[in-house]
Amino acid sequence: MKSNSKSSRLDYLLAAPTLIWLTVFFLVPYFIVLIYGFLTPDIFDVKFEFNLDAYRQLFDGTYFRPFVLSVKLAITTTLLCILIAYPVAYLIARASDKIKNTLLILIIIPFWTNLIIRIFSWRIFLSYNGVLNDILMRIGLISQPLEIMRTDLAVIMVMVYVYLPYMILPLYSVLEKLDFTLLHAAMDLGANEVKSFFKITLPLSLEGIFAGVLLVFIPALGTYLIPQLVGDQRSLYVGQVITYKIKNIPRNWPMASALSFGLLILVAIFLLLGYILLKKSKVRGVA
Amino acid sequence: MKYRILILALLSMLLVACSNKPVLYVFNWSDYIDPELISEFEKEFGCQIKYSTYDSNENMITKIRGSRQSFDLVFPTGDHVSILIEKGLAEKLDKSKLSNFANLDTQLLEKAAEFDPGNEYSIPYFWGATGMMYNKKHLPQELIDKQSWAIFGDPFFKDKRKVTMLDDAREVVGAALTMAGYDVNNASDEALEAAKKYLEEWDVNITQFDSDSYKNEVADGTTWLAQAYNGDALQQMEQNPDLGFIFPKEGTTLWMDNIVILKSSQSKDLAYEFVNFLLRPEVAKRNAEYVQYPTPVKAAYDLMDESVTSNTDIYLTDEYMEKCHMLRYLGNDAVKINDLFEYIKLN
Repeated sequence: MKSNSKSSRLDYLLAAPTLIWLTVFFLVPYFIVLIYGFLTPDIFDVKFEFNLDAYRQLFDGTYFRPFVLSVKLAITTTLLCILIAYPVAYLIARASDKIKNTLLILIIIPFWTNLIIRIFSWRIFLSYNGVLNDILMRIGLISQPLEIMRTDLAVIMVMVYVYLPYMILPLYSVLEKLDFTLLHAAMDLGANEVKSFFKITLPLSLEGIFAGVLLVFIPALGTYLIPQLVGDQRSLYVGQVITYKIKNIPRNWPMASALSFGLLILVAIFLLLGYILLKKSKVRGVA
Repeated sequence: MKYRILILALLSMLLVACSNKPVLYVFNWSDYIDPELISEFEKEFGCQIKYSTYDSNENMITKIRGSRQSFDLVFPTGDHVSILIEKGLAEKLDKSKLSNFANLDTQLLEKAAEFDPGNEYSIPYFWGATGMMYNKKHLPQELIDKQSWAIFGDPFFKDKRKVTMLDDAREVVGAALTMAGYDVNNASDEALEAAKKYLEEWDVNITQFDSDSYKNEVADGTTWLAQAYNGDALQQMEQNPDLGFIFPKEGTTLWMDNIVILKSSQSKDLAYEFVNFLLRPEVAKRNAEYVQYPTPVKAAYDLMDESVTSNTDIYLTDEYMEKCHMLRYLGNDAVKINDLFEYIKLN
């Protein structure tokens, strides 16, 4: 794209504000967080003495379980979001213009209400004497209220609910641009609907899935609020452990720093994996 | 335009200078004082109280260390009094200025000395004890009759998901330490090893560590048995006859919120007056009736309804008090207790 050096210089100039912003407010703070991981914890904050305890604990298995739980939760949430979001995005993309806009607004409406209020509504909905149990008992499906609140199931339900729009929207934007005449061509050539979906629609929408995965998986991995409010406090996720380390006196900021760095490494690994997979499938698609 | 702003600014400065009322900055837990008392004090002493609130000791300490505005009075819980003392943030009290100090219960002052030796920096404000709140509809009487922390480990609760303990390392480990026959402030390896055995036994039944929702959840049947603060339990019991509360026979942990004058305070004399005001029997009585926690101002007992002061779930008997201990600040040993709690939570 860069045809001559003039335009590339202009590119840099235009990118400069963003780059400076990111450096000052993202890279530098992250570097500070990183440094804190090598300091000695104190009651309130840290002593400026070099200490490797936090990283030793990060790798000695003490926090293995929260990491496993977080990864499991993030993967489950992402997969469920893809499964639910794909048909929805597909339908919206194929709908007539008028309905399309209405449907898109419906997807966005939940954003108008504050996240915490929505989570608290879920608490009321799922609780032991809550709306859901009430309905299920009235129609005679169950005789005893179900224990859903404060379980991993509750966390997954709310996670999928909260993150679903972030998966639908990028999928929609890709599917909307999909040339549906390709599908007609495939069918003319004898492919059935299932085959044409897997051979044409899915490969062409992979980038949308990848974008959706980025938007869902990464925040899901470090999530704090949802497990804290609806989850079982006996299975802590990394985000919760980090919060305890920062908040509860005696504080352990180095450990919090090391744990969030652990999360960053995990995100990087998963991103790289996803990127490689995407690249591979593209190459295969071309061939 | 510029001048107009300047003039306005100068005028407002003048106005501030004119209203020469002294200001007292009070930083307290939310909903923890009868608001009428504040305006009465303002009237009597011709001052203004700037009242802010916090919802945890941690937040309070972060604020008083971080903000440029200085507070005069804060209301930390016992172990956090020790932290304020250690960090040199608390003002050593001049008892000669505390004319109403004698109104305080001496037994409670002794307990308070566990975190503030000699009661040199803090004055008890309200206090309470931890016990067990239960739902009579679901719990067999013979289980309640055991009156012991051991109920948490009872096979009756197996797979029922009906038991919660407080989301607080010191309270949970404290209960286990008491059960094992150790002091709640004992963080020796031997004591914690013994406590761990009980915690692992209880952990099978515990569904939740929670310091907040349990109040409603025991009432609505989500939880049948909860480690609970007596004040919280009694508030719920007033509205629901199915609820009960017991203290375990082994003893329990006490907490106390205290008044501390900060070293950085700009109006210490007024702060002393406010403390004296709160220690007046009549004021303490009204405040206790509003807040619904037991007051340490013994001189106020006579003014209060006997049904309140004779309720041994609030005003514990002297004998039972012997078995109770104030949670003390443990410095780096607290890390060991935190680690044990974390171990139970994570495994």
